[in-house]
Amino acid sequence: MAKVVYRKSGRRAAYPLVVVGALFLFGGALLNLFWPKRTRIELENRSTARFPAFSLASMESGNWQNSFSTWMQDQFMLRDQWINTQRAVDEILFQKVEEGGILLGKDHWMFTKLFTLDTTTQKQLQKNVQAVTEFSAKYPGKVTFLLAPSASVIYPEELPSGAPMIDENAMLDEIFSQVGQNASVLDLRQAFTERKDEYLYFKTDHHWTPNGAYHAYEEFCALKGLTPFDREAHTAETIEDFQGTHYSATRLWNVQNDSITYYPMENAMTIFQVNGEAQYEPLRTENLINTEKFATRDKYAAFLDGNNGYSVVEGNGTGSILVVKDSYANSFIPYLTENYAKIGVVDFRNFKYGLDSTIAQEGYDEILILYNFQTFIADTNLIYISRPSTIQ
Amino acid sequence: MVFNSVVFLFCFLPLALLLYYLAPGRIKNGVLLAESLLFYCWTGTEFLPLIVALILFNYLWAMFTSAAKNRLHGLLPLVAVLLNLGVLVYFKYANFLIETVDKIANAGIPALEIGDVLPLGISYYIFKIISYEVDVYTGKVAAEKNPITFACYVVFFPQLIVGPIVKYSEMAAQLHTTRDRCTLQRLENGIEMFVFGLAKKVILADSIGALWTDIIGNGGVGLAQVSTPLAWLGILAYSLQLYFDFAGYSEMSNGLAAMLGFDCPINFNLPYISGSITEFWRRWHITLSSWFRDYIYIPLGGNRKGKARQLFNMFLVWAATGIWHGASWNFICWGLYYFVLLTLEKLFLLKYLKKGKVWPHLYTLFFVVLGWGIFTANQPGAPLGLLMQKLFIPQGGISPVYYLRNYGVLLVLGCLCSSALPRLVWQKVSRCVPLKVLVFVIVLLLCLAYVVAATNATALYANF
Repeated sequence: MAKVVYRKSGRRAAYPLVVVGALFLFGGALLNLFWPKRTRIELENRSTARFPAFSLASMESGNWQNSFSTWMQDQFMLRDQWINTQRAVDEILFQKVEEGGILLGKDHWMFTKLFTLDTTTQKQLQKNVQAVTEFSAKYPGKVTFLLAPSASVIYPEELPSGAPMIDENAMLDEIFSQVGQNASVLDLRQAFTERKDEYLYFKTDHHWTPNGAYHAYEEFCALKGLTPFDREAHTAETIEDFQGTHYSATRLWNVQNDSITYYPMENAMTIFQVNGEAQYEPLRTENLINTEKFATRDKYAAFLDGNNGYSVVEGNGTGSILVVKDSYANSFIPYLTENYAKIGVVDFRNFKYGLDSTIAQEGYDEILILYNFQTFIADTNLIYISRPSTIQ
Repeated sequence: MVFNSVVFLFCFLPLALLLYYLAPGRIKNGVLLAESLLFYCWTGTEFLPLIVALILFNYLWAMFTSAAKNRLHGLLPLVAVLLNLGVLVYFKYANFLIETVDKIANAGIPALEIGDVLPLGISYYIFKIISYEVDVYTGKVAAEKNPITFACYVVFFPQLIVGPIVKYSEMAAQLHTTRDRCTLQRLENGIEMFVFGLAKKVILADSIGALWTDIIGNGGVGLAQVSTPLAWLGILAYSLQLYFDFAGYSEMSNGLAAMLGFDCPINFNLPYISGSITEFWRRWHITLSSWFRDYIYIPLGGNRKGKARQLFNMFLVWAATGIWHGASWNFICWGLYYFVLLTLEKLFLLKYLKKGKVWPHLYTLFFVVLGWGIFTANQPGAPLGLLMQKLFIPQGGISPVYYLRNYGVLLVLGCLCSSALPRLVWQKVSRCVPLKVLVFVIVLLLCLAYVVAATNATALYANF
């Protein structure tokens, strides 16, 4: 006689976690295997790791295994969504106010975290101040130094409670007093604070808005006795849904997208290839705002078509000016077309020579040094500004 | 390859489990060994010859021991212990010893070029091997005849990086089971343990640990800048991180072991709820404490040879515990710190602690957290003198407000999860299967999000 075995109905449910676990592990692995691979992670603004080429030596050292792990990590299915989820949990459930080195302020504000200056940065800052001072001393009366304050200086009340930010105000005072001995300095703190109800800085990006840049430009014109570009007389275009670098770091779950309002201009810009000191070769000539970039994630790069080593913008005014700058200047320079006939633009990230030969050769009348505080203190390329010419 | 990485979870583990389950009983150990060796070689093959040589020597020596123990007696385990320990000392302590000798005697001996990285898991598998050799000598276990089975025990991949230090006697029976080694019940328990361990590591440990890194790490504000309350908050966060990191990793290890059909002893049993330091060490890194108890304390006589001898034995055990954690003076100080506390408890404090209700817990936590302060003092940025000055001389500096704002919820959650509460909740939840599955899936999804978003920090205890 056969033994009767009683099985409770729903016996399978006795091991529900086995089912869940197996589904995740094997289903996930299989799905991930066939998930489309990509070559770029747009949100992280970088290329993905490549599948490593196998060699015995690279396996013995563990490099191949390491690269393979990185490749899997980069190519994991729905990577962006997983990261968004993790950030959202941090932000909503754990109430974190800092994510990826960015502070999550009130009213959807995001700020670059700057709690301390390490010794390397402190030394770099000293070198940069010294380089700018030395350079300015060589061109008396010609140099203007514009250092844009961080958004957190204009909107300190929007910072997370108790954020121990460095005393940027004191540092700005110190920098301006040193550079001011030889150059005209533009301290925007008062002007910006008076207009703080306006849209001066992006909330999702580390740049100022074209409106913030305009008010800086107004201050520049006031200092120089120029008539500023009349915004009333031009029509503006607005690009919506800009999510900048702060957003990429934090993936703020309830992000408020930024918008970019700019004034289309006819002016052409020639981008040069820099072959050596004061040796340039025209690469291409295009509009000074590359509207194609507005369709990409990195919308701010439309202004001056990104950070090129040396370029020249044709203006409608008189005289010439050389702007030595970081990316803050990119949205500032278009307004200068109103006042100058020729605007040279140097970005030391892609221009590793002293400036004297260029100024002499191209005959620039004035020089504007335009940086924002955070780039200025840490930039390792600005020291080229005072490098003596190597041309005999 | 750390357990909390995409490559482990979605490449190595599914393949390893599939192969292992498909393999018939007789060759399961062979498959497991191959998988463990692959796991071992994930950081390169540099130290592969070392572990192969150790396995071979110890396999043969144990056979020799069981054959000749009646004639050669204590000489056998002595040779084995000295040799294995010698390997550990060479890789882990040689440069520390040379440096110390140089400082004291001005000998000018050059440091050995053995690289900055310890051979993967050496502190753990050497201890496993020693326990085996001694147990074979004392007759607790029979010498393993099959070299594959023995190798499998030594390089067992779930325990390779951060232990736990499971004795051979605790795994031998299952290593010899060829039929029904893996059961659905074990698998069910294993998956549960693994996922909760993973959650401890990637959600709690890494997130809370960021507070301490914010202070002493690269680009941190620097310990010298912080106020006294923030310094305390910092080491509190570090204490929670260390616990969740290590306990989480141990749980993942035991979970994996269970999935492979092995029941391994738990390594952590809610240490932060202890009512005395004595109890704390019965709940923290249990496998290490029991190793020291079984292979140092008891062989030296334990408490059977009088109070003075007992104290001396304790002194040795705690100096060794300290040194085991790394070649640095702060670990030795930390070990001796516990020797002092445990001696005081043994001599008179314990009977008062047993009567107390709340204060024994506060007392324990205070000294344990302070202990982690000493423990962490080998990290650059946290010199012991400065830390103690910050902790005990009230002073201003960067206030803890921002850190409480940013980490407050996580710290509270960390404290709750150090108690028995999650266990109780999970027991309640488990009664309703759909709810249990729902909670489990949510935890699993959260873990995945943190794994994908993280930079895959390795276990803190992999460095010890």
